[in-house]
Amino acid sequence: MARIRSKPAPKEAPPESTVPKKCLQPSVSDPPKLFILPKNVSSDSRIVSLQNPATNAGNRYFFCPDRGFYEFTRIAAPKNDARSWLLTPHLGKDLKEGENPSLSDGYIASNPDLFVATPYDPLFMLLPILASKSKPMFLSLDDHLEHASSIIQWKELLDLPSVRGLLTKRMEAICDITDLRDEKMYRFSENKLVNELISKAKRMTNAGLPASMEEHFVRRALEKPLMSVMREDSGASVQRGDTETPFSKNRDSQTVSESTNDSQQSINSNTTVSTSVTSVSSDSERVQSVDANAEIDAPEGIPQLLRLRTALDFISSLYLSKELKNQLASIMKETRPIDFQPLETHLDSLAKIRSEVQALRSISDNINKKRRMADDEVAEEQAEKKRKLEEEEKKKKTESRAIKNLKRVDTSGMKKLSSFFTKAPAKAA
Amino acid sequence: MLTIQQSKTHAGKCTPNVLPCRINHNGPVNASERYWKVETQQDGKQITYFRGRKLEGHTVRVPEGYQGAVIQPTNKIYSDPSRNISALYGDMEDGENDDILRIEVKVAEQVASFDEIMVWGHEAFPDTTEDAYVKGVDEWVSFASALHSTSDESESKEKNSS
Repeated sequence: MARIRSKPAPKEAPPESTVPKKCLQPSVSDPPKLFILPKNVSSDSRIVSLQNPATNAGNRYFFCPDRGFYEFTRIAAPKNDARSWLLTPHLGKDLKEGENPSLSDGYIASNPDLFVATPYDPLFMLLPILASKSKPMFLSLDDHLEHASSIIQWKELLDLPSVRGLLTKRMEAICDITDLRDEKMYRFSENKLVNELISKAKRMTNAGLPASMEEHFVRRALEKPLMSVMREDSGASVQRGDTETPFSKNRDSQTVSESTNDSQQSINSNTTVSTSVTSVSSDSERVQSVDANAEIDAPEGIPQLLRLRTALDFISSLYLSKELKNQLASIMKETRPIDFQPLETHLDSLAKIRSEVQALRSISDNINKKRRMADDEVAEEQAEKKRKLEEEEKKKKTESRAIKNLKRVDTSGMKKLSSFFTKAPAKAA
Repeated sequence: MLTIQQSKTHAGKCTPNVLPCRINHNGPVNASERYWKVETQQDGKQITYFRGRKLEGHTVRVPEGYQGAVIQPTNKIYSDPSRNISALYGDMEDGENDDILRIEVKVAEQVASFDEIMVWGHEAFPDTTEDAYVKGVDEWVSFASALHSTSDESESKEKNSS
């Protein structure tokens, strides 16, 4: 008992013990935060607040003069999921105590946030500056950044030559350039931005989407409704053919066999991607072979297209402002740098099948219900029979021995007892 | 603006644990071996008991090229030995402007570092495919670097040259 009691005690004790420590560590209201930062960064690295290009709200970025920008992502458990940090001494470090009483013994932080610094392309920071201009004009880098440098944090950064170099490079990626009196002039080009974003998306999909994203946006989106199960319990066999036809029509001619033939695959992926940039087709092939073992049941090229689109959506939802997003969407529709048509038709057909299956399912549900009702009646009858049988048996069992003995007596020649009690006229008749 | 400096009272390495419960307290506690002892079972599972409840742990390593840091923001103003960053680059034409616009740099002290974090599940192994910490550290870091890598490092270089 005493042992059990002793356990909670230290957990409750610290609040009291922290009171004297508060002067030493005034941060109990402001506990340390956990970060994952890049290694070997310059000592001149800073954490700066800059505008988030998508939301215009202040956001903190990590900046290293050598490595460039990093963005902080807050990782937190979902709200309904109660979590907290407990910092414990590193294994084996237990012996060396007393350096810092607050951390080497353990530390509790109720806020379970973890901040991860990941590389950040300053391209996205340039976008609000460039795209805000109503009419794109050729301007020098300084003129473009004129507005930005009025913000103190930016001014500080822009004083660094390395930042200028970085920004110039990214500027070149999304702007038309002309030379004007030894000075390079930049004009924001939406088409260039679209191409840049697409090459980003391709790079993201080349390494494969993260497992959870792949599962959510690719595998589940391409999942075919379970037809075979349907057939078993539907009983509506007449409609089977109907449900399959729209699907097979929309599929490419070569998909008669589901088996993934490598040569076919590469041909198809070439044709789908070649509309935009031919040099990437080899990469998409590689990814194709990766997903072959993942067994996504879809025509070749479709998962890759979906991945690309997922990646693009991801970028634009995270880093682009709403207006710019709409602008780019319309440009994508016009110029079609990537032809998403096969994907769209496939998804449409999937949606069609799904709704049909849904309809079928409700029909079959009804059928099942009816059948169940019929079954119920039969069952009731059977139950009744059973009950009668049982009752008889019960009766037999409870009969007295005398009656049983009497039963054996041959009563065929005897008059029935009841005949003695019938009414006289009846007898006469 | 913040700068991260190594704290004088740097506690060395620690192991941050994500507990499957909320503790409404911030501050030092006694997490000595008596109250927090991680055992590795024969099958490699790591378990511990927290106030009599069995927890099962999953280790999330800090990705390659990254370091874990426990950082304590302070109100101290950072005084650079070289006065300011731009002095390093000799870019100091408008000195007066600098004095006005120079924003103060506050110190954030790195009080401890870590190589891995432990995610704990109560009576069960944490769901590594859906856990925010596992996903955030393992998946997001590599994905983000793919997203943000500037094109001059990789393939589009070939594209430009071709």
